[in-house]
Amino acid sequence: MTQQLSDRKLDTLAAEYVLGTLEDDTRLKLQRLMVTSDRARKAVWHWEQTLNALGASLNDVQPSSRVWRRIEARLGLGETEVVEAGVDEPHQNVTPLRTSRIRQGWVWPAIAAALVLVMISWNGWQTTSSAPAQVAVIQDASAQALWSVNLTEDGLLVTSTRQVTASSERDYELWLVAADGRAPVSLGLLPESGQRLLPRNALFDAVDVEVLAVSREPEGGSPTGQPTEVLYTAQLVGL
Amino acid sequence: MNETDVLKLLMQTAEGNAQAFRQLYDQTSGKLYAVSLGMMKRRDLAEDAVQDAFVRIWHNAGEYRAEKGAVLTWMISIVRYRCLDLLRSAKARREHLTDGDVDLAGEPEDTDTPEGALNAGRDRIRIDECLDELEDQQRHAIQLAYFRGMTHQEVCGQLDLPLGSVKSWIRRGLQQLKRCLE
Repeated sequence: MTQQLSDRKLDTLAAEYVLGTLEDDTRLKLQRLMVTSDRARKAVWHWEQTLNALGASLNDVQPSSRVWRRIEARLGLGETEVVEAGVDEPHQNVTPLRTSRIRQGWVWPAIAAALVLVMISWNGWQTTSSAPAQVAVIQDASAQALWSVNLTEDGLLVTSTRQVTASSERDYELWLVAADGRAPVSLGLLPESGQRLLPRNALFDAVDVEVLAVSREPEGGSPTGQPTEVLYTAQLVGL
Repeated sequence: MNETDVLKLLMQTAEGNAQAFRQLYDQTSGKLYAVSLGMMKRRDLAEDAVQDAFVRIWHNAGEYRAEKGAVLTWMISIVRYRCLDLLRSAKARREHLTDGDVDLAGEPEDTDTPEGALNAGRDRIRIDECLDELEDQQRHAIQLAYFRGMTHQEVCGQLDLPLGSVKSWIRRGLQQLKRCLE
């Protein structure tokens, strides 16, 4: 998918993206294009506004009061930090995270599916000494988690899952895409198994992070200093 | 729900005002839950999606821009993408299961009054006038995808139509909608 897409084609893709009917590959390609193309982002925003008027026309259905209690507990907003026990409380084991306000990129739609469940299940997550500030889960086209990225004061702790296919012929590289439009900044190579602690780039404290991106590179990393082929993007979220 | 009020609450939320966030939740959660329930079909899953959406809204309130549309539609986008993500994830997991014990959406609609069910409990808006101009099944396909989060394949099964027809009908229908709305 390139910038040569006609307005009409891009518009149709954006419409189906918002509707939710794009095939996985095309959906991810459009997401990647949105990293660099203002035109693509605006097309998607236009259709979000158009189609979600349908959702806005639905009559309200009030959710149970437990929804707010859980939100409050996850964000550490209220005094109800301890949620009630029970099988209908799937998120209660999540380690409370620091609740500082973290500016992030625009709302990235397909990030972190099952983020909380992944967080619960990965070994070592809850054994770290300090609570993580921000996390991202990088997923493939079928929403399977490939890596978790845990941004702490010590660095970026990257954990690979078994879904990652190891290869000696290429590497995966992690990039910071800043909201200010600057060129992506390399954060280092991703592990193809186990964990790796990458240095914490000073930009994390200086710019708004739009998304993290993962590219496929020749062995050793990008030869040009810029991503060769962006495969995935993920939003960094504070929970 | 007044757009100016909601925008003000969102801006206060962006500044970390938890009380404003609570008011924003009170004013909008019914709408987000209605969207979510239609897609997820199960209350517990729909609640999870709403919960995730509001956590994200808290963190992203400062990223809202007027060019992204009205606040409410922006918030609905967040919950719908979350629902789509959960549905995709569940479908991916289901492919790895042998005993079919994933119990997410996918049951056929009541075929006697499918459109009635989709449109029950909502007001007619401008886009409905444009939807009315589409062929019946074309309109129904778009509504199933929007309100139920159905894939092309699922719409095919629901409407008993060939996959190619569903794909092109949805695509042409969206283009026609755009022309109508302009």
